[in-house]
Amino acid sequence: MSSVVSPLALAFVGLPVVVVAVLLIAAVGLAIRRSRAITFDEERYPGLAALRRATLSSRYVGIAVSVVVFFVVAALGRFGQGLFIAPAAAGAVVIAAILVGQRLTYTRARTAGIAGVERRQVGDYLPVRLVTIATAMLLVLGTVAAWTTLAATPDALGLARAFTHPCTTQLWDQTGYQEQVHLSVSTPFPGSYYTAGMAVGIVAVLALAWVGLVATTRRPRNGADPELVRVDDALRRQTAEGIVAALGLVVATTLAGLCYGAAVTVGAEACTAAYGLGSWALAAVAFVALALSLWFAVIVLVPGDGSGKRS
Amino acid sequence: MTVALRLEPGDPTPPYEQLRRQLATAIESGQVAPETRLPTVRQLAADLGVAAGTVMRAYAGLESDGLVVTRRGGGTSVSASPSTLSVAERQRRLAELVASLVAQARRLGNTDDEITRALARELG
Repeated sequence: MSSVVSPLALAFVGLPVVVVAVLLIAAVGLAIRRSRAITFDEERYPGLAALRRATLSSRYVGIAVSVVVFFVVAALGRFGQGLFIAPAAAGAVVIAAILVGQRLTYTRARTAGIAGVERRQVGDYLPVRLVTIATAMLLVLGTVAAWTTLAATPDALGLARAFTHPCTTQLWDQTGYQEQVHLSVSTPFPGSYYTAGMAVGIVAVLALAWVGLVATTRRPRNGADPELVRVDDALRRQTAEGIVAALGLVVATTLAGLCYGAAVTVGAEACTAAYGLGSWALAAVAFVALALSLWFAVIVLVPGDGSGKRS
Repeated sequence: MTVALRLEPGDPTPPYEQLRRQLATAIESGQVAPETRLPTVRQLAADLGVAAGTVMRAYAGLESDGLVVTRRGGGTSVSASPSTLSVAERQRRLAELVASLVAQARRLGNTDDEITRALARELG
């Protein structure tokens, strides 16, 4: 018996595979481009060398711990509630680990009694492109979360995690053609049952990221030697980039999850074209957020040379 | 290029005065341009590893000399037209620097001849 696979079915299965492959190739390409370390005379600046080693080691320890934290937090709560908090918890672990590494070792890069006449500000070390994209995603996340929170209705247990909308059914019976309106209820939908915890998590990570950026800027620098300033600035940019990328990863994965969850629920009972379109729009946002998550993940995993050119 | 500040632990001059003098020299010589914003008290104190009060006292001294201005919420910046040194003031500062250098060199065990020769070498 021979089976015939239709071109549409082939596209339905093949397209996601192609898209995932393209995204992975792009991620590998970005990782290769970023795989350049900060180079300097480590014997001349042993303190900065120790600081670099410590911040990178703590970042990788943080990433490893964050994976465990993600799965532990994701399992908390009922009906997948923890899934909406898990990205923030994992991101907070990565940012905290970067900060702890820096805090524990910065004194080694310090020679009291020497300084330069310079004014350092958070903006000097911020990766502009990453900040712009993370902020844009945060706005989209806020907008979508506000809509899903307002649109959600209580489910059978009274939890705000259902999506209810009127559907019209056309029926023929003995009396003729009739239109019947009924309420379609679908779950799970990201109402306040999910978004309240998510918002608390995002705000907490934002606050932690800000603390991290301020601490990175205020870390003492001893001297005005141009080479020391170059290396120290690169280390600060690398740390700031890691913090912003971790924040971006939190926002992007949360947005992807939120939009995917809403798209599936709205699409499942899409009795009108508007709901179908809405579902596809949410799915598209989820896909873009997922792609950006990959980008942020590469930046967190491959710290780069702190030149700030590729972020 | 960033101007370097260095506090000498062996110098009997108090740290705030060392800092005030170095900043005054940098401003008056034009190494730090007018209207340049100086580091925050907290940042400079952390960089130098001294108490914030030391930096605040140095900045207050510079402000009373008319070299810097401090604005509430705007930090401390170099005056738009800091006073330039008069010949007498320049010579007084030079005498101070030489006295400090000679005192330190003597504490290290150098004789006056060695100090003179080292100075001559440095001057070329």
